[in-house]
Amino acid sequence: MRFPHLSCLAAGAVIMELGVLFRGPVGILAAVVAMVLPGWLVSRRLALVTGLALIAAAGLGSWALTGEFRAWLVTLLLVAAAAGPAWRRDRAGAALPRIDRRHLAAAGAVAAVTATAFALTTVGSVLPDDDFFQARLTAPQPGKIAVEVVNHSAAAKPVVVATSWGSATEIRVEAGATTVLRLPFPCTGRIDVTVTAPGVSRRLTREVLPGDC
Amino acid sequence: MTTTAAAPTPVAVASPARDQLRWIAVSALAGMTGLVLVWWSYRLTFAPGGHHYTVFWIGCLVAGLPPAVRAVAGAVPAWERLTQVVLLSVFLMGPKLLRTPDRPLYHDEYAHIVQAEHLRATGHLFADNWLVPVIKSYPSLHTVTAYLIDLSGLPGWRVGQAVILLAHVLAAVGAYALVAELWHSERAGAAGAVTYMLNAGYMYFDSQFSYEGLALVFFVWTGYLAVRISRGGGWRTVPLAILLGAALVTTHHLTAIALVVLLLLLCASARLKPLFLLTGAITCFLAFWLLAVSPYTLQYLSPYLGTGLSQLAGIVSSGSGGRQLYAASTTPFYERAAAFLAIAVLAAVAIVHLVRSRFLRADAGARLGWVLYGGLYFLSIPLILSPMGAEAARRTWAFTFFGVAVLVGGLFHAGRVRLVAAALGFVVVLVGNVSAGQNEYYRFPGPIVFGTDTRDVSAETLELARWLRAGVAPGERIATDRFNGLQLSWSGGLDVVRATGDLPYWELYLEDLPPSVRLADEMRRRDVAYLVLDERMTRSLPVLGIYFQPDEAFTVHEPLDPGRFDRYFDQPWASVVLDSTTVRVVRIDLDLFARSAR
Repeated sequence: MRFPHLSCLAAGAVIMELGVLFRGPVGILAAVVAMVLPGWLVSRRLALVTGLALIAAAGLGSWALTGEFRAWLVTLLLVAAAAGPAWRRDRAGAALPRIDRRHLAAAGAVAAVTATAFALTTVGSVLPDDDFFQARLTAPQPGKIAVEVVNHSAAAKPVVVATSWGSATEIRVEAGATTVLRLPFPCTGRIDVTVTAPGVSRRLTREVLPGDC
Repeated sequence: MTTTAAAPTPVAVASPARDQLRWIAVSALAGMTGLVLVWWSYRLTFAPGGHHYTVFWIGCLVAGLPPAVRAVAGAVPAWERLTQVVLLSVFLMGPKLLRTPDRPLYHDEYAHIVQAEHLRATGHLFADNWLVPVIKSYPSLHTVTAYLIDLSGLPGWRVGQAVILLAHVLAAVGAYALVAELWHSERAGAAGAVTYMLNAGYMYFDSQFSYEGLALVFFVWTGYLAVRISRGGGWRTVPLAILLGAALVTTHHLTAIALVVLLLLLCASARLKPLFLLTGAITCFLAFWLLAVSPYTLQYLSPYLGTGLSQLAGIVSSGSGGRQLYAASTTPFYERAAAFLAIAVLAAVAIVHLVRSRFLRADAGARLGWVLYGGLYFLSIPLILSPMGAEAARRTWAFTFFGVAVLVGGLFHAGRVRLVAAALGFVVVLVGNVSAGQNEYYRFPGPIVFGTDTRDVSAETLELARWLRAGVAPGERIATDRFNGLQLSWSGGLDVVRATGDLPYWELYLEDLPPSVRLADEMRRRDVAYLVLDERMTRSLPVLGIYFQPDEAFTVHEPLDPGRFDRYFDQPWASVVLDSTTVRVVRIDLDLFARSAR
């Protein structure tokens, strides 16, 4: 191949722009190419570090040129930054590096440990799962008044929803469930709702607004 | 230009290729086993018995010792040493990665990930950030992350983790390259890299998604190029070094200042024109950035060092007022002992270096500069006795420890270190420095603790964030405390406002109603239509001692009166639209609110 480095860069540019357009597996490949290729063409030994610095610089360049950060423009700037060094390498007759068994062994080992770490992360955060009992007015915007009761505990709860205009409704909220209760309410004044379960009481208030009725 | 302090390592015959591959397989397997043990230790925090520390350290030592020992052993080829260093650094990212696998955990992580995701969504660079205002002027981490999110289509948090993992590894590899270059020894380089990974912030603090993690990469590699320049690398290396230095300036303020200090030391010890050019260019760019782009940075940084030093002076003169180290700590005794022993071990290394180098006479050129830089680590240690200085000292260790790594590399270069002693030192410094770097709340999950950034995420706050996200209209903003704010801004994607002198909404917690005209007008102007109250404020004080941010204008010595929260049931401008076990949401009619102002 007569221009191996420029050819690499051209292929990389296509992959990166396809990544901006389509994402998915092509996008992940594009992200890797963007981090490695331009930096590698500028400095082989410091490829990844240079790649990160170039992305940062290209981000600022995109902002300076258009007033905004645009991924496609960052890609173009990265390619522009790497084109000169690629051309110089081709003129100097530099060959592309070869991958040998040692590189593969090292990459395989690092990939195995990294994959284990990320695989374990898929199990999710270790969050405490404390009980809570919550009452709320559905969507605090006008026109959708209803009472929601959330019972985040391991046991069902008998709940009484009492209102300031004299109604009282008994419901049963299952463990881990959210129950929505739609009540008739006066069209003026202030709504005041008390939600009571054994040992706990919650209170909600709201001004009735035009559009609620 | 540089002289060596001792005879170089005797030439040893490298082990056969099959052995090298076998050792790499062993280290990889050990790393995977260690990760599983660390993961398990986090599950044990909810079980009685307190075995999580033991299992955690078994995991760390199972995973850490094989690559560390093999990396610094004699007769190992450079490629294998480097691979072992990378394996160790990947493992040492594991504890933080597993601590918070699917969401931010530390305070600053929320700020940075929100900033990166906002940048990707809007394209607006230099956007305001309510959690850490100064980060808006340091966009490199957010730019890199936003770009990779855009390309890959992966979730922002995953991309952020990958970027920091890459930075984590590159910092260790940078330490390797730097120390190997300074001592002309791959073994010294590996020892330096392993030592660097033992600094107090490496396992947790610098593994968080924060600008410092990326900045350290630019720092060490610029420092490495400066060494190359000082050794006749010449003018051709300068542009790349300037690129990395400039990237650092746009990434993190303190690390950029630390780089200028380093370059000045290198200039003083190796007087070369290309080095002067590099130092001048980066210093000028930093000055421009601090004056023109981020003029509030020095104001942001000054309390840490200035107040820290004055507090330290007060401690020295009066003999009181200092921090009690490990006060109310739940860490095991052996960790605390190791924390003090680690300082002794590192001090012993420094003393050995001083003696071997005939009090630095044998150090010259760039190596002298780096050794002096490592000395700053020891100078900063007394600062941990002052409340503000402790934070400043901890922040500087991430880069002064590169200098310490150079000192340790020198010992291995001399070839006089027994592997058993090295392994013992590794264990002591690892355990001690991790313990000194972060407390239990940052390291381990566990029961909810009110007023901590890292132990205050619950199913209830996540449900609140989800519900508000569905109900809050576009443009409406939320006033709340620091701890709920973290969840609402990231999990809920909500626009939380910062309590400041211009928007002193702490008045709604602490002062009588009606609100002040200034507050009411400002809330209406900014459309702050929701107030999220945390009822735990009426039961206890937050562990961090603050409700909103470190510089808040008041100090509360006892829990708030519950009446302060109950009064919102009776205000005509307030609707209590959610009432829960620990939180209450007040929707504010901003016109009525402004009219009610005193």
